[in-house]
Amino acid sequence: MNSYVKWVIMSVFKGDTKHEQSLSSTFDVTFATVKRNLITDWQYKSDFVIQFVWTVINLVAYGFLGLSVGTAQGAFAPDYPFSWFLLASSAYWTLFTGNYEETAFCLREESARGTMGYLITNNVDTLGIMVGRYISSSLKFFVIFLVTAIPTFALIPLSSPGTILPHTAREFFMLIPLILYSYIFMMCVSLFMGSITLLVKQTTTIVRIMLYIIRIIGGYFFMIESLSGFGAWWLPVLAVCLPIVSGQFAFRKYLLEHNSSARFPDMSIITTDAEFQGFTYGQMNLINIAVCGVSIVGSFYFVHWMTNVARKRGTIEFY
Amino acid sequence: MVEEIIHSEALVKEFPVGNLPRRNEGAKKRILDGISFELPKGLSLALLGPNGSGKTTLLKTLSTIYSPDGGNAQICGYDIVKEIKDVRKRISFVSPAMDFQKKLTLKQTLDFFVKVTNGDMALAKDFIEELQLDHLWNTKLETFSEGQKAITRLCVGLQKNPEILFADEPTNGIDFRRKQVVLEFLEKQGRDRTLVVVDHDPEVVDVLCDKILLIALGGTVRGMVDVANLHKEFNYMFDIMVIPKGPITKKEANDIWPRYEMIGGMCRFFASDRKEAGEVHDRIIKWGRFIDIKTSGISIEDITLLWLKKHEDELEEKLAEDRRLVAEQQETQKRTSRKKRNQID
Repeated sequence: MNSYVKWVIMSVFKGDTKHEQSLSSTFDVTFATVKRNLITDWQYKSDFVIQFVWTVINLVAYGFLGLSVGTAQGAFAPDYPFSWFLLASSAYWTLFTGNYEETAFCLREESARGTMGYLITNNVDTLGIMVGRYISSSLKFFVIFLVTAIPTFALIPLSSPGTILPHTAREFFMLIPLILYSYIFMMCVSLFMGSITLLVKQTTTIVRIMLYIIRIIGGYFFMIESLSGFGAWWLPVLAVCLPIVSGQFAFRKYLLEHNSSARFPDMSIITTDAEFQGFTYGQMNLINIAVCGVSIVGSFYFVHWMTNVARKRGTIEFY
Repeated sequence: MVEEIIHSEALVKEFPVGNLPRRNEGAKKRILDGISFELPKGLSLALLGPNGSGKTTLLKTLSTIYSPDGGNAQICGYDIVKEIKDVRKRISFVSPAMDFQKKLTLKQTLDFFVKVTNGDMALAKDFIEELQLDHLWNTKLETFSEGQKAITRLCVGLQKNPEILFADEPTNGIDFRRKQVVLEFLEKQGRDRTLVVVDHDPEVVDVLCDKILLIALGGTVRGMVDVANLHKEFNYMFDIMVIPKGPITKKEANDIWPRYEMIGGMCRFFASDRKEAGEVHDRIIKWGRFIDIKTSGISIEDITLLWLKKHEDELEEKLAEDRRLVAEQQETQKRTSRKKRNQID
């Protein structure tokens, strides 16, 4: 697998010796880190169980919260139970929360273990370590998503006969790229937060604050359409430009808006007067690709810059 | 001309005081203050000095973990700032604080490091077999003793087959028998590899190093000494400290034992072995005018200091030259930044 992926990507850089060598080394480091993390994660089976229980508790808690609220009120209230709304948020974020946190803290762990100095002096960059951690954690949390979120959503048709999940195969495949953009975007946020740990050691709260900011603007707790209620119609339109928001927006539409499946492809945000405000699916893809591109370049540069600052300030390895 | 494997010129390293960046000059603490030395190819070096003198910081700066704030250094001819990747290809760094994923086995751990450093598993295996740890190949590191972890650390450092191995207390925690094997192994390899170690163990310095760089508090070089010369001139193992009743004259001290030094009102005698130490002890008792006698093993730092004391004049000349070099560099840096500021204005 490793060598096949490497061969495909390396063929692009064939002949460019400098980039070929550098890419080859980055691949080796990333795959070795993924392998090490997967072996270690597998050893900590209790952690897997704890993460599973934590996700189930989240789903149950938000499910009950939604049930207690009953039907959402207001102009932007969804046409399905509020408990479904919150369950969709919880399920969607199962794919990103754990890997975001583990990646954001992985350099701190490496530093505490004292292996940072060794890795740095061997041209193993902090980027390779973090990307490796993100990929391996994603696999772990994808499994947790499969065993928690999918059964939960299987219950929806039972509670509401006639509801069928998924709508159509076409919508399912349309959703995949949007989730992929969210995945890349959250990786960039993780890299950004992870490199902050190179300078500041007490970062648990900072990392969580960032997570909640993204969740809030991403519409974890409320319909982002209601942001236009603040007098700025462009606010939800702007928010949906973030891949993580558009991913969640589409995820919810795809899963829950059974009576408006025709609306899904155009990714529109309907305002009070039902006027179209938003982007088409194609536009949304282009915007997401552009935002992901900028995020990748920005976060990679930021990691590189923070590593140099940490080397200057001596915080790269404490003991 | 002798080829140099390490060349350091007026190396400076400062750390900010406190956790947050401050812009004023006073918020920085200078750990290394103009370290200059050269190490010819084929020789190994021990960094010695009191706690807090900056030995580990120097080791980390040379091994590119920290970036220097002034001066420059070349490793194998490559600049540690401008040609960092070339430097890193040729070195390895082993620290006593290095720990591993406890749930991984020795094999899985070495597999990971061999993969990321493009190292040689056969080399790692050889070392593990030599140290008779091969029976632990599939054992998780959580069950390893401190000594076994120290061997794993060294193995991780060596599997890359570096030209220079930077090691901070490499044999710390290893039992006596295995330490001998480690030293023998490193000594055998020393012909092709340069070692730069921070270690207070005289045996490690004795067996592995050709030169000692003594660093003083404040991060300055006190001097560089050849280990061979040191042993030739000061072949001491023990010191016998005497607190006399009243002042002791040089003649009295010389009559007791010719190798001595006066420290304030006290007298310190030096002995090459246990037998000599016993003899000095007997002579002092026979002399009788003392309040207390204390015999202890002499550290390699003490011997180096004695050597430096003896050669103070010639070293002073070199130190003055180094200081002049640092001052010159700082002046040039100031002038360049002033010029830049003027250009911006």
